[in-house]
Amino acid sequence: MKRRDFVLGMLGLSGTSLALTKWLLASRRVTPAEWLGSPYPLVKVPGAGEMYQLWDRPPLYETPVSKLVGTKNPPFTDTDHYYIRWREADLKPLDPDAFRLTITGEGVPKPVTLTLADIKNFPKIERGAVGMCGAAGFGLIRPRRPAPPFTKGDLSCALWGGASLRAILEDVGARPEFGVLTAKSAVKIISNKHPTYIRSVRMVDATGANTLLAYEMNGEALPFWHGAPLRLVIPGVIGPNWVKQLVELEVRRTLAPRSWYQKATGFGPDVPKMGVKTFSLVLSPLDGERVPVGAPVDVMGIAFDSGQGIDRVDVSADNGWSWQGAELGPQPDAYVWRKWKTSFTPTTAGRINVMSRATSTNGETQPLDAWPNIQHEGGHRNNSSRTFATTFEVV
Amino acid sequence: MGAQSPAARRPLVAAVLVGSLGIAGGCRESDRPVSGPPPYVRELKPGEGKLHVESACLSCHNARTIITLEGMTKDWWRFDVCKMRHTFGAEVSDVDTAKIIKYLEDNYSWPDPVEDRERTGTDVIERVCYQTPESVLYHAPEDVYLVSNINGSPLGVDGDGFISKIAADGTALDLTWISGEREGTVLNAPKGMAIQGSTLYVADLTVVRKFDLRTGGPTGNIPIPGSTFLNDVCEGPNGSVYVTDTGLSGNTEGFVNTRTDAVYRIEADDRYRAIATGTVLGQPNGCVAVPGGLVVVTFGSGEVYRLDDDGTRHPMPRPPRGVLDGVVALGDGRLVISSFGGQAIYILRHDQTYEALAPLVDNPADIAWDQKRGRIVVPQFMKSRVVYFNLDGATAGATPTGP
Repeated sequence: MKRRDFVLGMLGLSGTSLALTKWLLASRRVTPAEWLGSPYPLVKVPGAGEMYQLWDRPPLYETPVSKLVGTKNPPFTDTDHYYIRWREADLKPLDPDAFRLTITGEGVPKPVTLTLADIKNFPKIERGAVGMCGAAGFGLIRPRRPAPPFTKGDLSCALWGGASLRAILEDVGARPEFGVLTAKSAVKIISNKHPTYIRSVRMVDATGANTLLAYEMNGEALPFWHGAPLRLVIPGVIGPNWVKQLVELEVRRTLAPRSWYQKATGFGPDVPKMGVKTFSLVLSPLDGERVPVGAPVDVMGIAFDSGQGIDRVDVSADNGWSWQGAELGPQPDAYVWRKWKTSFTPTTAGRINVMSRATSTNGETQPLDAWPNIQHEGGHRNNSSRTFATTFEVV
Repeated sequence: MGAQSPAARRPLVAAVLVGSLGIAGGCRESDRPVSGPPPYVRELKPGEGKLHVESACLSCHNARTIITLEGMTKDWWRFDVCKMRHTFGAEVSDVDTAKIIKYLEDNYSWPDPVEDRERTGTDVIERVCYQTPESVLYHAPEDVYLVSNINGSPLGVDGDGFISKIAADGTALDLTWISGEREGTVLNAPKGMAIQGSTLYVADLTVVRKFDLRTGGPTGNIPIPGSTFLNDVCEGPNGSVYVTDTGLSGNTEGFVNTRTDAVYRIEADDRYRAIATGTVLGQPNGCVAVPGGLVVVTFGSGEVYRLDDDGTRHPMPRPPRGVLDGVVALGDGRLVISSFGGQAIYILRHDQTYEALAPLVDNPADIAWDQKRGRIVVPQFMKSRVVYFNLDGATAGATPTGP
């Protein structure tokens, strides 16, 4: 088969594309070698670095695995390579001078409006934390889920700076026993019925000592892509709740109607638990990288959990039949990922699957298979070792 | 075409297979260069409905959003389109919704063994954006199915419930024919329905709501103080209807029993009385009036009994599994019952034994009997879809029973 025919076939331009497709499907098993890297194009994002583009409208970019641990202030991800995930098609920058944050709701004595300067008057605190999408690995499992098909790059780690949300809520006299905090973004989607992104979080999460109204990221002003001028950062809780371009907080008893992706169940305060699950990833070697047979290979990676601390990381090069412990690097802040490394010697040439399994100090371990999670949670917050395994070419 | 998807597929499965078969070295792939990434396709596949997809979806998305999601199942595509419509408020008509879902199913869905197994033995009324459908009612004069949609929590006073009017061929005539989001209509978590004359009765938490069957406009409310979870409504004699209270509420753990179990009879002039009360009723759910009384199936105890108007219960054979929801009477006197516990539809035969009709129906709620086609129509509560299957031999001479 000529290369030109192949390309035309892939583009659906060939009259015999169906036959070609069948041929391709049939021939896949032996040749050619399957592409092991990201299935998405690597593009230069305006105002940021080169990232894999899932979609551009709404903007969705995942961090290349090689850039997860940045160079400027490791182990944090460089701001330019922090993954980008918006649900809205039309984004506009907010004028920081005209910016106002309203705190309202039945759990507040009277509505309060704060400027950015008001928020910066509160003592600044800094927290390192992993931000992660609930759809991690959706691009790696079949069937596809109705959510962004991220592969391994929808997580990043940054040092966030801002005001303590607890201090601000105390200052305005909000009553934590109301149970639910609703955070509202300024971004509009094209619909009259649902003007902005709204998210309800549990008050216990919102009033934790680490929850920030962040206006700084990695020591600099929060960039547009990550929610300037103000965003919510809740370490230990997954990213959908870290509302960007935050303009309103509402203290309520119940889940706000029209919360995106949060449908009331009728039971209790209705806010799903959104904790980060224990997770680990092989960062090096990369997917598809060639390693020599018979020589030791250094395997390096990261691990994190919901803030308990990583207890151990095990690595398997034989699909989970045997595991060897990895050497752990120092644990930075509780919500920052911990580096680990180990080495092994491949004995046969060919493809080899290497997977990692982290265990938290609270005993939570990554499952081997994704299937139970897919059955019960639709793949949401999937953290199975097999889903996120790395495949090397041993030559 | 499907060429892009295998390329995007994870090497994981292949690698696992190769590894476990111990033939890792046999493929000799390693001396070939690793191929490049899959081609960057930015155009939707040609096909019927493409224009509808472009006009409805591409105002907020670009085509990559759809292209990169190739490989979802049919159910997921329907879910995704309906999410855009209901949760995110995309303004798309019922007709366009069906065309969009069909295009996506035809061009971007992959078959899935699990979904295929679930579909075995039933037909699915496809491409309609139900939201937690609880009950189906066949309205013979119009030859339509009315489907009540809770839309969210079965306990939620959220004002977003709706009732759909669906043609027997599966076309959505009006998805939100009656809608709690419409000015002047209140509908929170609609469940069972019954028709008496020109009035549609709908059980809605603690109120039975009345609607004009022609216009869908509200014509009155019958609040029943002391009730908690009014569930099914069925036609009674002399213009009356019966309504059951399953006696449920919720806390952080799930459903709790409020012990308000009751069966009420509402007369044509809206006066009502409880004909039976108490937890001895076993959380009554579905009901159907048959010659000689009212048949009730229970959600809590999994019983079936006949109830006289003075409250006397006459036990009937108990189905193999419980958590019963809906019941209909066939023209020949047999009963068909849906069971959450058995994920099944049972038929009570003339010899007083049960037979499972549909082997596996997830979350079957309040069923309907389409006597014209000999069809049992089942709303699948958590799956937000409606399926049906034909009852062989049951259609002969079948007419709706009733007092």
